[in-house]
Parts: sequence; structure tokens; C-alpha cells
Amino acid sequence: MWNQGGSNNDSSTVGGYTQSPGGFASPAASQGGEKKGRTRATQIIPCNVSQLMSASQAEESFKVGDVEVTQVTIVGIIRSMDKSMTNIQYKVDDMTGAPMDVKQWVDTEDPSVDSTVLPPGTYVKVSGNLRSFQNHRSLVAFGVRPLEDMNEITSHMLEVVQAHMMLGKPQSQFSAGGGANVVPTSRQDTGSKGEGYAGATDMVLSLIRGCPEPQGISIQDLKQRLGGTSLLVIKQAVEFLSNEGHIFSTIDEDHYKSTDSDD
Amino acid sequence: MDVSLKLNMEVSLKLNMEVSLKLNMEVHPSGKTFTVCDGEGKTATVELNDPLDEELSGVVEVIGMVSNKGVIMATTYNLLREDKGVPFDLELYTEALKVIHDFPQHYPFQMALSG
Repeated sequence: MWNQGGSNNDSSTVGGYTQSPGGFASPAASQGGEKKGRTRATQIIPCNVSQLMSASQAEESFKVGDVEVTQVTIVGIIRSMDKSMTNIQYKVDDMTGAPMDVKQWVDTEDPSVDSTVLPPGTYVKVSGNLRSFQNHRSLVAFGVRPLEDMNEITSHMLEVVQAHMMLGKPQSQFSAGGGANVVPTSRQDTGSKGEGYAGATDMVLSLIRGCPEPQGISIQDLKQRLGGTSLLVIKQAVEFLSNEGHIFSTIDEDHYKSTDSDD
Repeated sequence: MDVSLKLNMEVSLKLNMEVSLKLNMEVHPSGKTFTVCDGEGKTATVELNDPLDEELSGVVEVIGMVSNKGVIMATTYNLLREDKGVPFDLELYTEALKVIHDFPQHYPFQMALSG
């Protein structure tokens, strides 16, 4: 049986335009390599301590929701420090849970090691691997850096939210309206199917509809109003809308008016 | 105390719970309490267990319990260093707070089970 995937009567079906933008190598949204086996983690994810403590565990790897969190960064304040011959143990507190144990191995041959020990009360960014041993979670750090700019506390909080939001969702989160701009695709509720060219089509149509000029609006004007949307996308949207009968050309092929104007 | 919610003043003073606040501060002469004001200009009083033994100014992070009189009973505090010449943007931090409260699924807080 035919599976059209969309209603035949729905005039706002956008045909072939709504291809998932995930076709070309989506950025960090890919799950960082194979999920099975002992593949090295390829991503480092900003997290908070609460996430690390409640992450689910499968063998050697951990997940916060759908996001693999093996290599992570946290930002917090050192509450205690304990130095031994081979390592330094910190407890780092970011106020989202009990302070987290962080172990940093020390190069015993390096005489400058003492200078790297950080006192309690220091805000740090820790980069390391999440470990679980006898049900006790900790971080094995490959880097513990004191913060010099405290605004990193703020930026880390936001990075945590952003990373988990972006990595947790499927690729359709990306608005492929032709650029990196944040033009909302569903502002006009015309039954749009969402991202991609469909979004641009709605914007183009509503701009054409809203134009009071007798000769309509030009493609150049559309490009100017639509900021980051590419000219190609605009032209394709115009061609589609014209084929569907929503708009018609006026003084030349660059000017269009809507068949059902707002005025 | 296992966890403190990061809150700005307006939210925290409504609740009787542990808070962690970054605040601009001014110290009272007695040394045991001081007034703070948050990134939105709201003020509160912080009470310490022991009198301050140092002169404090600038942005401080206070962790404590909000009493039913709306005073923050501090268990600990720490000044945010600004000696590297980069000031801490408290207003921006307050905006970030709102973001993390809007997305609790991406910035969870472990609720302490014990009191």
C-alpha cells in the first residue's frame, strides 16, 4: 500500500522539503562513536554533581538520560584536600549534592607537585572520568584548574543545561532554516510541520501576505527581512508557494503577492 | 547539609530551606550580621555563627538556612575572588539561575533526604 506520509488534501504539506537536517554530519549530537564495546569516550560533557551521582551505569560507561557521561567537567569549590604520596584527594562541592570525591594522581618525580595542591575554598574546574567503585562514585581527574574568572561558574551552569539539552534530543532539534540564526520556525501557526524548509516557507508566505504594496514584495526584500536564511532556500520556498497557488508574480519574476492578501 | 538550592533572594525568602546565594554585601559593625543584596537589587540579612574576623566586601556566596523571619542563618560563606581583574557579573549569574530553574531536567538538584 502507498504510504504517503502526509495527507493528500493538506495544502501545507511541504513535499520533499522537510528532509531531516541530520543528513550531513550532525555536530556533537552524534553519540560519540559506537555505543557498544570498549570504545573510548570521545566527548567531554559539562555536568553537575547531582547528575553524576544519579547517572545510570552500564559496565564501564555512565549515562545521564540519553547522554553518555564518562569524560566530564564539573565546576565547584574545594571543601577539603588530602594529599598522599601518590595522589591528591579533593572534595568538590557545586551545591547540587554532597561534595564529590575527586582524585588526582600525582607525578612523584615532579618536584613542582607541591605547588599544584589547591587549598579548600578554591573554586575549580575539574576535568576527569567518572568512576564507580563499590557503589561509590568519584572522579578521577586529569585536570584540576583553579578558576580565575568567577564568571566561569555562570558559564558552566549554562553549558551543563545546553549540553544535556542538545545531546539528549534527536537531530530534529536543529533548525535548518538555512543558517545558524534562531529564526523561530513555528511562529505562524499555519500547520507547519516544523523545522527545515517548511519553516522558511511559512515565514516567506507570511511576509508576502503582509506586504501592502501593489507590486508585492521582492525576493531581495525577503532575503533582507529573513536575516540568516539563504537566498536559495527563499527562492525554493517562493517557487513552491507559487506552484501551490499561494502567491503569484507581479511586475517581474522577483516580485510576488499573495493570492489571499491580509488586507 | 547535603545540598543547597541555588536561588536568588525572592525565591529563597519564601522558603524555609537551604540556600546558596551570591550577593553583594555590606557588613554591620557588630560583625555577626551583614546585609546583602542580590543580582536583582533585593536585600536580606545574613547572620553568622561567629563574628566576622575579616573585612568583607564584594560578592559573597552564602550557604545557609532561611529562618522563618527571613534571615539567612549562614553555615558557611566564601568571597568570590576578583583579584584577577575580572569582575563577577551578578546580574548575569541571576539570569543563569533562572535558566537552570527552567530546566530542572538538565540541571538537577539532589534533594537531601536527611534534615
